[in-house]
Amino acid sequence: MADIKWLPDGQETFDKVIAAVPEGMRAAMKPKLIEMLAAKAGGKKISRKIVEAWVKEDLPEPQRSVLMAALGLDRPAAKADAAAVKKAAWKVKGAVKNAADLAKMKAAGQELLAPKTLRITVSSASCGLAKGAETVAAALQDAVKKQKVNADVVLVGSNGMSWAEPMVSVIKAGKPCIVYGNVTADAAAGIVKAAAAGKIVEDLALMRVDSIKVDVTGEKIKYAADKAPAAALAKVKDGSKIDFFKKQLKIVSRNAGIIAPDRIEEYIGLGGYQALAKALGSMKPADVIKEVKESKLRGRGGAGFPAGIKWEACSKAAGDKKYIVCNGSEGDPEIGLHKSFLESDPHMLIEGMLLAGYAVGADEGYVYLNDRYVLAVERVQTAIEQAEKVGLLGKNILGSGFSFTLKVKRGGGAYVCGEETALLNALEGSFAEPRPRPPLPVHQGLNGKPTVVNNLETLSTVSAIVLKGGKWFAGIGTPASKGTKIVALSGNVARPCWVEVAMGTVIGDIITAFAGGTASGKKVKAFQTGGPSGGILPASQLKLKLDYDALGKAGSLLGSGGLLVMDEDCDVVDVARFLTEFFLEESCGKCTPCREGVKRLNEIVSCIADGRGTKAQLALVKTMGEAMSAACFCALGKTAAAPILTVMKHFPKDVNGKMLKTIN
Amino acid sequence: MSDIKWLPDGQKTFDKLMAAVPEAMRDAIKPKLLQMLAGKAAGQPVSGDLVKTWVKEDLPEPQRSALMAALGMKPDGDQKPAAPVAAAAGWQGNAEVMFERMLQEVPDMMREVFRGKLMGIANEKAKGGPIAEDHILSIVKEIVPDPFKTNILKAFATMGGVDLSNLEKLIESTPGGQETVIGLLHAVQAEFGYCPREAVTMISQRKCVPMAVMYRLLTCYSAFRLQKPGKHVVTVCTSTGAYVNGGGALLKQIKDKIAKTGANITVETARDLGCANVAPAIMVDGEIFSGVQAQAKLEQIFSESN
Ligand SMILES: Cc1cc2nc3c(=O)[nH]c(=O)nc-3n(C[C@H](O)[C@H](O)[C@H](O)COP(=O)(O)O)c2cc1C
Ligand code: SF4
Repeated sequence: MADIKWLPDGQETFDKVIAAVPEGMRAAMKPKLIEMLAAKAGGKKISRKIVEAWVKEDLPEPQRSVLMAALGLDRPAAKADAAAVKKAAWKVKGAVKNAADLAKMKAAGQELLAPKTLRITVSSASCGLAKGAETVAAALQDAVKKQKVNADVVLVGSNGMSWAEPMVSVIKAGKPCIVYGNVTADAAAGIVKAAAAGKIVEDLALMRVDSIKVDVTGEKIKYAADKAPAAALAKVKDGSKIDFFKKQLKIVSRNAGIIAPDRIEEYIGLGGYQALAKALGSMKPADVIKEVKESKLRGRGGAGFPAGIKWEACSKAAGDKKYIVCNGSEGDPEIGLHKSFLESDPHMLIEGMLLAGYAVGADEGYVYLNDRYVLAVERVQTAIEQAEKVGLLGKNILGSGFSFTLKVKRGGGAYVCGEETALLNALEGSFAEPRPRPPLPVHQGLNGKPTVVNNLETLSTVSAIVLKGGKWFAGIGTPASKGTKIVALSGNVARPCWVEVAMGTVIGDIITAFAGGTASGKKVKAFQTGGPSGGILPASQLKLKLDYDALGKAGSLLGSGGLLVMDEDCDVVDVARFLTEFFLEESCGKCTPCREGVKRLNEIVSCIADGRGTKAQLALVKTMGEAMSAACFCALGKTAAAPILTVMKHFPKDVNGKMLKTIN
Repeated sequence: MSDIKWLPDGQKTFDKLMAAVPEAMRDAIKPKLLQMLAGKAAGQPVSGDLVKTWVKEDLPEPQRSALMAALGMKPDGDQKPAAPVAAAAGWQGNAEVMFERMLQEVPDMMREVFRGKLMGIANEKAKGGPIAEDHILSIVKEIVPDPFKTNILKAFATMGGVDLSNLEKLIESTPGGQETVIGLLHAVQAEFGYCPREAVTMISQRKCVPMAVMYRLLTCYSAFRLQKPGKHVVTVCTSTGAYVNGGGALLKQIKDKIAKTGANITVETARDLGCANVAPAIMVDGEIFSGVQAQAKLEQIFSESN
């Protein structure tokens, strides 16, 4: 210790490091740390820089992160600032009473999206925030202030590239938009500096974007002048030519990651509420239903029921009080794929619900959201308030005489509440249990009144259909499944993400093109679509298309669009056990076949997964699966055996390996 | 060990001393120390002062200085003996609990020094009489700086019961019947961290929903807690995606660490955090973290909750 020479700031910094070491270990650790530090200094006097570099470069995780935090190296700006960016509530100006107002606000929105000065966006859906988007935003804000740059730092949603979070986009007049990925707070100052000078931080740049779609009609906002890109630009890939975007067909999610979810002007700037204006201005409710029927849009929540037919039934149901309910229960233990979307573009859902309300003659709507989706609840709430403020929700919307109010309700946390009648119970403040059907919700739903319950993606799709026509939508996809679907990839994938693709896209292609195959680099062994009740299918089925009927025939379902990937090392029997356990936890207990069935099923599957299986058990699982699918009250129980049954069917080797050798 | 008789403050002081011993050595050293201490006490009940005298007189360096510091004793060289902490002449109402609560905000190392000082001030205010709640309250308001002040005052507000004034206002501004209950319960949990019986009863009465139904709602929905959670609540993502990627490891790591450190942290799991795309994700007190951020946050709350 004697051979160490300190500079005052070095000593100070080192004291901070020591203070961050838990008290009990301090004395023991100190000599060791000093020894390491001395080695790093190599005889030089120890300065703050050396201590910091040593912490940053030489320490193993997790100590490194902790000490970096203690030294303030990870977050240059205070946490309070970050909160300020988030909380600086956006104030909407003006009202939208007619089509002319809407056009005016559209222009105002486009001004925000492509300003004459500088717009810097940070992707701040939950997945971005989890990876530090808030501190990045604060650091950008800080840099803008310090460098005296005139820029609008905006929190936007996510564009689906979860692996690159947090992302920052720089939009400067006359230049293409530059998107940076995996941005840290350290990089913020550099990005602002480059942005102000019209330059690019090349090693962080993911891509450039030359233009964005205004709506589905083909209108665009051009960012860049149409000239050939400058030399520096040429090195940054054109986003529209990257597979990740080229292979997607973005209809529902087209605004996500571009607009600020808390600025209604920006949604309107990209063609928002035009479909509503069109419907209220020139279509009868029956015309709206006709377009939706023609589009052959099927429910995105699981069952795949045609939305137009559901709406028609509700519009014909007797009664003058009707409701529209958005199912945002999202209980699938997979990925919460719509959460990111909702946090990015809540107005798309609101417009869809307005259209549904107009079509069926409802004047009240509820958005029911998963209890964990705190941020989504917040953002939908803000969006509703803004729509009310400008007059797009409330009485006499756009002067048409049509009135509609909307409320958001946070659920209590029960998977079965995704089932539409259980959801209605939850909305009424009752227990999480399905109701008998009939009566169907379209005849007697919320508070006994005719009610349309639709998945949030279903509802969000409607505005595009109304704007561009059902025929156009029906021209996309396969004969049985029209349009596009948001798919979320998770499990063993190199790049977890969510994407929107045309129905009929081959599942294997989705995994390779967007998620880059498995994370382990090994072969895909199995995949599961449709959440916990979906079948676990073998790699030989990767050629299946994204299609309600094709997946149904293969013993799985499209469900709400989760796609779980498992590699060769995955113990599929154990995954089936995990899912059976999920049903055990989530069975509501209303009906005996499910309540007792999932318990017994879990006992048996656990026994097999532990390597103590018998042939008699396998036979029993089959019988139970059949009995439960026939006798259970709702789909939760009916499909609870699907994972283990499909594993038994497609992975006999794995199952055989789990058999007790002595008896069988 | 059975032959040691403790006075309450003696036991407390000894525990503090043990806490200052590096964890790895604690078990090995404890019997030895107890043996030494028993020798010193020679059959008398062990008081806090005795423990301190023993540390000062009998222990070898460097342990002696380290433990003296840990017990808040003045280092050698300082000739003046530490001023004995004056005792209160008596306490009224919740005053003693409030006094202790106030001291909790002081970092461990300095707590004993502050105890003496603050006790002196309290005695002064009480003019020799028993210390009342008001005396403590005025000390907090006049002397204690923020943010400690706010923390302490907040804690005082719920002391000896649950402060239902916010809930009362919320119920008044929430028209409707049973359909409002889940929302109200979310608000209760956001305020208290769980659903205390008093709050549930109030909702039951005002919204005319039987307690039996309230209980069934509280238990059929997984979002609600009936027990007060620890200082922090960590929710670990147990989505299928996380599971396939070996997500169980993180949960185990956190649970083991809590078992080892006794940190005041509640661990829960959720299959639907909705962030499997940045797995393994955790939620800490409602905020989502993943990867490096998650590790750093965990370290932070562990160091706060010891
Ligand atoms: C156990 C269970 C869970 C379900 N979870 C959801 C869900 O999270 N989201 C959803 O939209 N639909 C879910 N459904 C399907 C709904 O019952 C219903 O079919 C759907 O909300 C109808 O909307 P759609 O026609 O737009 O798909 C679930 C069904 C069952 C049986
Ligand atoms: S099948 Fe299961 S979840 Fe559905 S009603 Fe019966 S017990 Fe409840």
